[in-house]
Amino acid sequence: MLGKLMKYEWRGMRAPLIIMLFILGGTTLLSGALILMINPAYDGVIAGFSAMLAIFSFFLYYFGLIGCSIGIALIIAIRFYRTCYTDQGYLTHTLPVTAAQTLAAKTIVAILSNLLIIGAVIVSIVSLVSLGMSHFARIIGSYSYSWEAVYGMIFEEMNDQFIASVGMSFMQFMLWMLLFSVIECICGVIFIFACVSLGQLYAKHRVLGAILAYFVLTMLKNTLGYISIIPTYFRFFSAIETGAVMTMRSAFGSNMIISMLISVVLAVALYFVNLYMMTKRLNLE
Amino acid sequence: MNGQINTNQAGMNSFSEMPLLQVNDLCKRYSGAGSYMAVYHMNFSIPRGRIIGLLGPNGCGKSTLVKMINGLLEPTSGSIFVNGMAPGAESKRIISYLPERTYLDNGMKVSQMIGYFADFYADFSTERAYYMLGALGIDLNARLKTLSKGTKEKVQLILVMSRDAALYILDEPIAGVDPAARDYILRTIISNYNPKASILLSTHLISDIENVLDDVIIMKNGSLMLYSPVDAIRNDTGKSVDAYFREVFAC
Repeated sequence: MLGKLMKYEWRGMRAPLIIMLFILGGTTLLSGALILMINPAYDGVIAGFSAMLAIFSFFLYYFGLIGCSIGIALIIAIRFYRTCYTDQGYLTHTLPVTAAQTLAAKTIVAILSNLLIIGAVIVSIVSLVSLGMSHFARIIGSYSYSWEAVYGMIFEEMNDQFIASVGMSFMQFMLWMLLFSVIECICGVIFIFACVSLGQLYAKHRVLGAILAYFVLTMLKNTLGYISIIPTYFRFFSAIETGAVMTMRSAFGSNMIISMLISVVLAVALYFVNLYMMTKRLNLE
Repeated sequence: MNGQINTNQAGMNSFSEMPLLQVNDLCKRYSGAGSYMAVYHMNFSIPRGRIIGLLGPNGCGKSTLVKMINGLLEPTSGSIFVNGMAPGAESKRIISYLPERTYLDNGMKVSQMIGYFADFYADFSTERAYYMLGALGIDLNARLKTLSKGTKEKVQLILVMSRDAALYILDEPIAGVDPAARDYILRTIISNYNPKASILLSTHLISDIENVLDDVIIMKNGSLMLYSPVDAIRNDTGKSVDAYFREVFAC
C-alpha cells in the first residue's frame, strides 16, 4: 500500500514541481544570456551597461533561488494541508491504510521532491558558473583552457586554500555540505508537516495556527542552535587569547554536527507529533 | 405520539453472529472554549443485511458518530467495533463511506478516480462503476473540477456504491441532487445492495428514503433516542417515520 500511496502522492506533486523546474530553468537561461552579454572590453556606455547586466543577472538569479526555496516549501505545505485537513482529508483518512503509512508516503515523496529541486539548483549553479568561466576565459583570450584544465586549476587552488583555512579538502567540504543539505532537507519536510498539523489545534484558524506553529518551532530550533554554539565561542576566544591558529573545522566542525543532531532529534520528535495529530487529534470540518 | 416504541429493538435481533457494528457507551466531547458533549453514552449494534436510517435534527451528533465509526475522530470514551475490529486500516477495508463533503481530488479525471479506488479497495468493481457512470452520462475523461457539484456527488456515490463492502455509511447522499437524480441514487443504493451488508444512511430528507429503510436510529442531543424497525414505528404510532420525526422535533 505504501507504494500505491507514494504513486498518487507523486502524481499530485508532479504538476507544481514541473512548473517550479521550468521557472528555475527559465531564470537560469535568462541569467546565462545576461552573463554572455557582459563584456568589459566594450567601450564607454556599453561597458557600463555590461556591468549593470552583471549585477542584474546576479540579482535575478539570487531571487530565483529564493523563489525556489520558498516555492517548494509552499508546494509541500499546501499539498499536505489540502490532502490531510480539508475535504480531501475524508478520502485520505478513510483509505485502508494506517496513518503511519499515509504520513510515510507523504514524507518520502516530499523529501524526494525537495531533493529534486536541490539537485536542479545545483545543476543550474554549476551550469552558470561553467558558462561564466567559459565566457570570461574567452574575454581574456584564454581559449586554450580546456574544461578539465580550468576546473583542475581552480580546484587545486581551492584545495590548498581549503586545507589551510577549513581544515579539510574542498571535496571533503563539499561532501559535508551535501550531507548537511540532505539532512536539512529531510528535517525541513517533517518540520513543515508538523507545523501544518499543529495548526489544526486552532479549529477556527487552521492556516493561521500553522503559521504560528512555524514561528514557535523555528524559534525553538534557533534557540537550541544558539545554545549549541556557545562552546564554539569559548574555543574561538581562547584560541585568540593564546594566539593559536584555528581552522574552520576545529572551530565550527563540532558545532555543525551538534546543529545537525538537533535538527534530527527535533525532526524525529515532530514526526511522532505529526502522527499523533493525524490519529488522536484529527478533526476534519 | 400514539404508541410507545421499544428503543433499540432493531439492534436486538437474535443474530447469533457478531454484529457488524457495535457501539459501546460511546462519548465524544469537543474540547476548547465551547466545550460540549456531541455524543453521549451511545449504545447500539447493527446486524448484517439491514438498511438503517440515521436521523436527527441538526447538531444532534450524527456526523460526529459517523466520523468516529470511520476512524476520522477519536472517541473521548467508549468503544466501537466494526466486524469485531476497532476503527483502523482493517475496518476501513470493509466500510464504504460517503461523506457529506466532496472529497475527490479536483485535479483528477473521473477515470483516474476509478483507478484510484480500484488500486486501494480490493472490493471495488470497475465494471460496475463504468456501467453506472455510463447510465448517468458522465464523461470519464472529464476533470472533476469541470463538473457541477451535483455531478461530483453522483460520481462520489457511484465510487462508494461500486464497492462490495460489508458496511456502507452514506452521509446525506441525496441532499445536493435534483429529484430525478435522487430517484436514481436510491435505485442505485437498493440495486447494488448486498444482502449480507448493511447500509447506514444519514439524512434529513426522510420522506425520500423512508421506503427503502428497514430500521431507523434517531438521535437527540447526542444520545440515542430511538432504534426501531420502520414497520414498528408505523404500526405503533400509525404514522410514517417522516411524520413521526416532525412531531417529535416540532419547533
